[in-house]
Amino acid sequence: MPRLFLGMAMFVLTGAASAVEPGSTIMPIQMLYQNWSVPKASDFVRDGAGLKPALQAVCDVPQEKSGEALAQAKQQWLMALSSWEKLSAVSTGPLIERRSQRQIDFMPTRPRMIEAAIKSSPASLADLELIGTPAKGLPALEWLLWVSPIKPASAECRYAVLISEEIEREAQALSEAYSKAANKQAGEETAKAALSELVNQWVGGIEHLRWANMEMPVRVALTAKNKTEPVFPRRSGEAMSMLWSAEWDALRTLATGKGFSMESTLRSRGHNQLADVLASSTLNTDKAMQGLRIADQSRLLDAARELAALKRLVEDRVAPALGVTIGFSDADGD
Amino acid sequence: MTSRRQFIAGLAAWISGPAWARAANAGMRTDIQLAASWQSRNAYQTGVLARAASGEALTIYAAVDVPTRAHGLLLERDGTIITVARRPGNWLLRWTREGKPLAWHWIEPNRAFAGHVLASADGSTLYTTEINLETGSGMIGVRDAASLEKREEWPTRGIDPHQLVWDVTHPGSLIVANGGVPTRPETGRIKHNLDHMDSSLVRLDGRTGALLGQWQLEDSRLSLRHLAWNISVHNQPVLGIALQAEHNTTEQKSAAPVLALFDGEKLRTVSTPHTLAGYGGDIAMRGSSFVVSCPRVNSIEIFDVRGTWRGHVSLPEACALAPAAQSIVAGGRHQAIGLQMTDSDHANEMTIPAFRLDNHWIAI
Repeated sequence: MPRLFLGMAMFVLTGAASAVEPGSTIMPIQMLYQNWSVPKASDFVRDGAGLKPALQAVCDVPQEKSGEALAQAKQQWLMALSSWEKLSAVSTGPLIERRSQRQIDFMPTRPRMIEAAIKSSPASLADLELIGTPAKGLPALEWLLWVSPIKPASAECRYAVLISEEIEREAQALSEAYSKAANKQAGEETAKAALSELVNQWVGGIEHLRWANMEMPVRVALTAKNKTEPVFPRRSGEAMSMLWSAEWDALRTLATGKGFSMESTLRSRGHNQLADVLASSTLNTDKAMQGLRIADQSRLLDAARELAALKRLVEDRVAPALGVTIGFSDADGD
Repeated sequence: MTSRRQFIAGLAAWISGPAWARAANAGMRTDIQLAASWQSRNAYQTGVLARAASGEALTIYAAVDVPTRAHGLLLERDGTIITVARRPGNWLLRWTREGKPLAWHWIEPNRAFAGHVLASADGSTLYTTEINLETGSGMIGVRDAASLEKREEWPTRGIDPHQLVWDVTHPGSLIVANGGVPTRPETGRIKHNLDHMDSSLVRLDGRTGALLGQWQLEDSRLSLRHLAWNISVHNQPVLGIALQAEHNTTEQKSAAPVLALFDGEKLRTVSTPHTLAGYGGDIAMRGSSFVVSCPRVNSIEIFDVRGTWRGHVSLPEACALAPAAQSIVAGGRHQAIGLQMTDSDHANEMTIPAFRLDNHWIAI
């Protein structure tokens, strides 16, 4: 989607927000979908669509030029990953309904299932539907690009192209679903449920970033019986840096960004002091999240602590002020 | 910014446990010691709370930082303690009552711990409730107690498995509560499709995992979660099950029962003369009584072994329950009480530190 058009849409919606009655959730949720989800889904469509030609190029080039084509395919995969992480860091609406994360980002990928899938020679997306998600999606492509790199004119290469088509199809379906949701007139109850889902998923997203993607790999390595290096969810340091940056970008924007955010919703309801605290805490976390690398475990753990503090603030103070019950938080039982 | 020296010191503390916790109360004479988990201002912790002899406060005797919220606890035969992460969790920790971590164990990527752990009679095997993240189905992880490594897995024939106990009516068998609440790996604890809840109690062969029996309540929106046997009546043991309601409306939830009873053959709910918000947080037995904590109505409900309601005691955010020192010690928000369970059901009040106590604690 043209960026100019999106900019105009944001302006119009931001202007319209001033007419929203204090406490109403209808317009903020429509703003969220219009200003955040729709453009992020659109970015993912663009970057996901770039995978197929990049992979096809690897399949088509002579062997001696495959290194360069492979490097470009890796770069395209990193771009698609970044778009995907920004869109899915806080899973709302269509992402949950379609179970997209499970469809195209199932982790850990299963190398044996990938090998078996390649041997079955799927020729179409219909054939691919018979193959389990652990052998498909972005993690399987990562495996075929970094760990067991595809070669020109190979069955592995053809399989990678087919996976990329499926990712592109899911990206397109998500984009259409978000556009539809953004234009749907929501009643007060639906909007409240959407706000509740957003705040809950934001809390889940920041915890996933803090624990599964940053702290746990380091802790597991530190407590291993034999000395070992951390094993992060993505296989290259570059991909991890991109993942942390993309997920944090989404969380930060939905916390305090322009247009719809938890901060702006707090201010619209008169909670200016709490909004200031949220802005300040987010800024501290943002400083800690800059320039993280897998080799710098000390900084990773510092940043994880900042994320944990921000999560507690949202759970303990922001969510109650927004009238949201955190369904899977520390306040919930078991 | 953390310096390299601070970083290494911090890691050492995380791995070996904070020295302050061991030193602060050395030599203290106590009459109640409880292994528990809590959330303090800046950290999740598991540790020991103790009351000085004839004192009126439970204080932190030892504490170990843990990375995410903890849930179930197990006292092992040698006096060490195992704490398991809350669902969907990925760690087990063995630690000493002095607050020294002995071993961390991390679950494999396609499984999650579901919150509780049980030991075999000889202590050589541990059984953990787990979730298969690929299919969502419930599993029992059968583990070597020494290494904590998994030896085999058994299906629980349901979803959302929670607590498990040995079956006193069929020695050698396990009873497992399948909570039955559908969730998805990608959305953590958010509940989906509650119309498809599938809670059950299952009896599994403790050697093979074979299914020996399965029972369900008529109301499919009642989640069977926490278990305690009462063996006070000779040859008539009764299993008490604390329930959590998942109905659509507040009215339905509010009126839902919090206790079910299982006599080895039949499973049934019991009623109370007042509503309890449909949420039983923990269950314990003492003498001929069952006690169920109800944090959402700030009370502890007392039933006899046949399920007849006997009374209640108020305690803000009451949840953790443990038989200890001739009473049941119940923990709530900033306060604990020791229920004597005599005719007068006398309660001794104790203060607890300013933290958020988790659902369970055990006497050690």
